[in-house]
Amino acid sequence: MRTATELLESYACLTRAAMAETVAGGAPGSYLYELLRDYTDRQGKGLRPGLLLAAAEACGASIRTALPAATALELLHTSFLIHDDVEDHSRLRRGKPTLHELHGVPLAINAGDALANLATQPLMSSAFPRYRSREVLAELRMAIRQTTEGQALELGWRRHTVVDLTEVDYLELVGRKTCWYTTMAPLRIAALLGRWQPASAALDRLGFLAGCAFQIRDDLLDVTPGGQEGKEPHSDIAEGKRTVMLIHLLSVTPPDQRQWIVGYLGKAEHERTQLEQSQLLRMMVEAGSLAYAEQLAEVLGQAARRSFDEAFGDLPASAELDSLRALVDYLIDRS
Amino acid sequence: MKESERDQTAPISESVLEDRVLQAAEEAFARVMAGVPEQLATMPPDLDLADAIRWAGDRVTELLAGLSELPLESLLGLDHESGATTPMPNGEPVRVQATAGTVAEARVWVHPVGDLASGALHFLLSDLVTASGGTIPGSLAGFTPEQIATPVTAGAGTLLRLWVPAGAAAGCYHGHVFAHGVIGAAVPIVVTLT
Repeated sequence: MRTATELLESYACLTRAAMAETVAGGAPGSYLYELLRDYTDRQGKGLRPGLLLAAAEACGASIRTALPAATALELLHTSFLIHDDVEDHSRLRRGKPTLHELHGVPLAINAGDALANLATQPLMSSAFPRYRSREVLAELRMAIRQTTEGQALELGWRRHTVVDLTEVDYLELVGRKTCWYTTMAPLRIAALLGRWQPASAALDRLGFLAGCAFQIRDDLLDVTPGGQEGKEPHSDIAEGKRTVMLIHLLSVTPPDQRQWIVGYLGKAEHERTQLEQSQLLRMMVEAGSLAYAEQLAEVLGQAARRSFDEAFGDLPASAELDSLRALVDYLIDRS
Repeated sequence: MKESERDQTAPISESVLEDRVLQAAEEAFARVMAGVPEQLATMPPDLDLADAIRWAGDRVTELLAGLSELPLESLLGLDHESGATTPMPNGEPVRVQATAGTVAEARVWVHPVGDLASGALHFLLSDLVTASGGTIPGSLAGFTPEQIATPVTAGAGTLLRLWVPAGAAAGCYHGHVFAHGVIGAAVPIVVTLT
């Protein structure tokens, strides 16, 4: 059996080719379509389409049937990234300058809008089963709704220096902002396209738990030297993101230190110095916040594995199901 | 109780932590799923009669399209994608066109000759080599299905999917698809990389 990374790469080849077809040609090239091609050509891991295709195969659907939906999801993800980079003032994406750094904010926002619209185009493909397009479109719309609601929560918390947050608040945020379109939608769409139906409640829980474990490990990678390839290090700390480590730190730190943290978070991003960022990271390490996040990811990952067995327990054993399990394990354990 | 009201500095056991995390996850999951209908594409509840009839008409049309689409796909063999098909009864090699950095696909068939005992056939791909020594490792291939139970009463097919590395040089790569099991078979394969 191939490793998860080999599997992802093989699926990513197919998705990249389909995305290139969707954004090929078009005018104005230098102000729009070349920008779109720049971002869609950048090689990400292809986790979302990979998960969708692997789950579709495990459910008995063919790649040919599922590829348009996987492509739609990846195009949607790319449009989110463009806007997300503007909102977070990010400078690097997949090892290259972000689109707004290269072309300015107005053209980047417009490119994101165009890509969100183009995302539905693959669903018009003749390979895609017409009787499923309504359901898949509804799934994409739900993914957009949940993601934008989650993003609104996060941006609002940062804008109003909201600090009195619990693990439940954090997991809800992650559930909406990350899990829905990263893990839940791929699994739900795959189930729609397949011949065999996994247990739907367990499938949603699997998507949620695996997505939460994935996001917490992503938060941890941000503070790990060399952890996030192609992104600026410590960007979450610089942006004042409400990571689970920050929420933990705020809940355990003495009042004077808490006051300092609240002051730091209340500043505009460009006012936060490197020294302050290092100080905040040191406080997280000393308070055991990183170790706590590791434990949290571990517990959620184990729960996700139990949900996997529950969701897919009635499906026939197959190499495709084994591949899907390997991919879910990879998502949960990312390092 | 909020985190800030709890004594977080007190050590807690692993099982207590696990219970607390799972409880928090359940609560958050319930918040996320609140208001999400089980079926997203059901008829909206507030339609007037005319729109409800239109909606139902559309849905019936889609389902009828699906009913005709599925057998048609099966009939034409489109429900399983394949880059090439190979009857190869005469020892002809499977020929596959491929591009570096993409996934090449081909359907490979094994035809039973004589009686077969019960068991299973496992498919494997040898390393593929060019005359000048270029290699694509066989481990980059996958088969769907990976094995077939025997005896088979007709030609048994499997879909070969080969990930061609981005740096692979153009050329003709030769190798074999092996079917191991109650019979042994080696089907020659030529992957032309352009």
